[in-house]
Amino acid sequence: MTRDARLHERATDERTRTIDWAALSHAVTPRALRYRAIDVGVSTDKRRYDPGEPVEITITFRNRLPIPIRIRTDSPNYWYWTVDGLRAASQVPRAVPDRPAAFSFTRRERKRFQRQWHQRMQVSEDEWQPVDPGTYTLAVSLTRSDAAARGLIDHTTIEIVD
Amino acid sequence: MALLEVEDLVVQYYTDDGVVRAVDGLSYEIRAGETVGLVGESGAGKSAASRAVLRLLDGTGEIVGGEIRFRGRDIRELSADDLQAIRGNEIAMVFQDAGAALNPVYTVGEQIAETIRVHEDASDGEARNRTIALLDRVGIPNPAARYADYPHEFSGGMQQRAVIAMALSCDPAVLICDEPTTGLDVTVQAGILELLAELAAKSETAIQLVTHDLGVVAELCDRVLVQYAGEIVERAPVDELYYDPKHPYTVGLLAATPRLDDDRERLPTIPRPAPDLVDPPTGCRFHPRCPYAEDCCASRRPSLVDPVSGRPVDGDPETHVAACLEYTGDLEAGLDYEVQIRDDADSNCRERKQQGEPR
Repeated sequence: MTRDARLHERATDERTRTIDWAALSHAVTPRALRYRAIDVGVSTDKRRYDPGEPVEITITFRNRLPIPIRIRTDSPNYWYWTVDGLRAASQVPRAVPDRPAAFSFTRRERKRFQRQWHQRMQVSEDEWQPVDPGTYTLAVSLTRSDAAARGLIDHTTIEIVD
Repeated sequence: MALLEVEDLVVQYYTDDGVVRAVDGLSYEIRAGETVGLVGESGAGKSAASRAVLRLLDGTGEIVGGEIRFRGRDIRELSADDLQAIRGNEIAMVFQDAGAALNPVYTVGEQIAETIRVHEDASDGEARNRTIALLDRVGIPNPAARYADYPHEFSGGMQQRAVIAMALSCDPAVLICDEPTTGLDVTVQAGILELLAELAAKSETAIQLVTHDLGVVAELCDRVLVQYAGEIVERAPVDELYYDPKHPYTVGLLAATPRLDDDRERLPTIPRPAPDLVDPPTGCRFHPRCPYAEDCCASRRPSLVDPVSGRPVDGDPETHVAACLEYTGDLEAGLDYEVQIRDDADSNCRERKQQGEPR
């Protein structure tokens, strides 16, 4: 048997013996169910903050289903957080390739991420300005143009008091 | 003209946690015969920057901005065939883990000979003879017999020497060494450094040395780039960096270098861990760890400037530049550290040592 034939046989064996459950689940799960399976959440360590006090933000994505789920996103930056609509509290757009990607979850997986907001807004490439006291909306969204319609966003509000 | 020019390079990795900007606006150049050190802590983006030069980023890493020019040609624009002709032949790389860089099922000699055959019109016999000469050059004893050994039959130091031999096999114009002595014991490290020093002195090969070991840089390099959280924070000729460091991070690194004659009970360290590049600090990225940070450091990002004039970086790579707001007149209290240079006239050797610590 030639080397190529052996490699082909091994590849065939691997394809038949191993099932890619994530791909199978993606193929058979209805699209609407995939979106409903993912719970998006954002929370902060407190509700009210002193000026300049860091805001600890916790972002959670949870797969409610006992099957793997994969959600298509518009970019390899699967999700983003905003302060009053500004991504990562910045007016400066970041270079992220505009190509589709997939955010994958194993069954019942919970992904939790932390961010810290220092009550500053980036106004140019090299400059940040502190924000005034007031109420601010922190939100998280999957990078999809229809994220709001699909329920793949969440938000919370905090107050900075003088 | 510079052999290798990197301009405003941006490298990103994509993870579930977000975008990791491992290299953010990196610019430098290397001229023929020059040895340039790239130093910084683990996770500063040194290896990503070096791998990007050969478009060898792994996983989800990609170059999203900037230019990498080799002899004036933009490496980002090269076709796969053109890039293959440059890899190994014009720009060669010595990887950190030599054991992983060698294929375990081929003999060491065959792997080096294969590199020669791929890039040059050499017969099997010629490639073998050149390989044996290379193994001899890098200090492998009895090279003709060791040609047929497999990687597991080599010690760690010999594996690293073999990888260096492979990198040198096509007489490259640029050799990128990514932490070539990490994981090796001290005596083997010394041997590898001696080999690289000899290479730097005797050939026109330019070397880009990536390391976190400032002692290695002092031994080998002509110029040094200090990288922190994906950015260059200081660039200087090697003597100036050691005797007159300008950035608080460089001062911290130098102060944390152990010395035999040190009478301090504990080595000073830079407080707190390096920042997470998914969510880097605002302003100067070093400010959360900097003992001299003021309010403005959190809201303004310093650019590389001449510490004396405060003017932005010019085109001369020999100019000593640092990215700290002190040099643009923004810090009120200034940088309050002292650099001590000790002249020890002791027996036959005369050493200059220095330490930089916050007072």
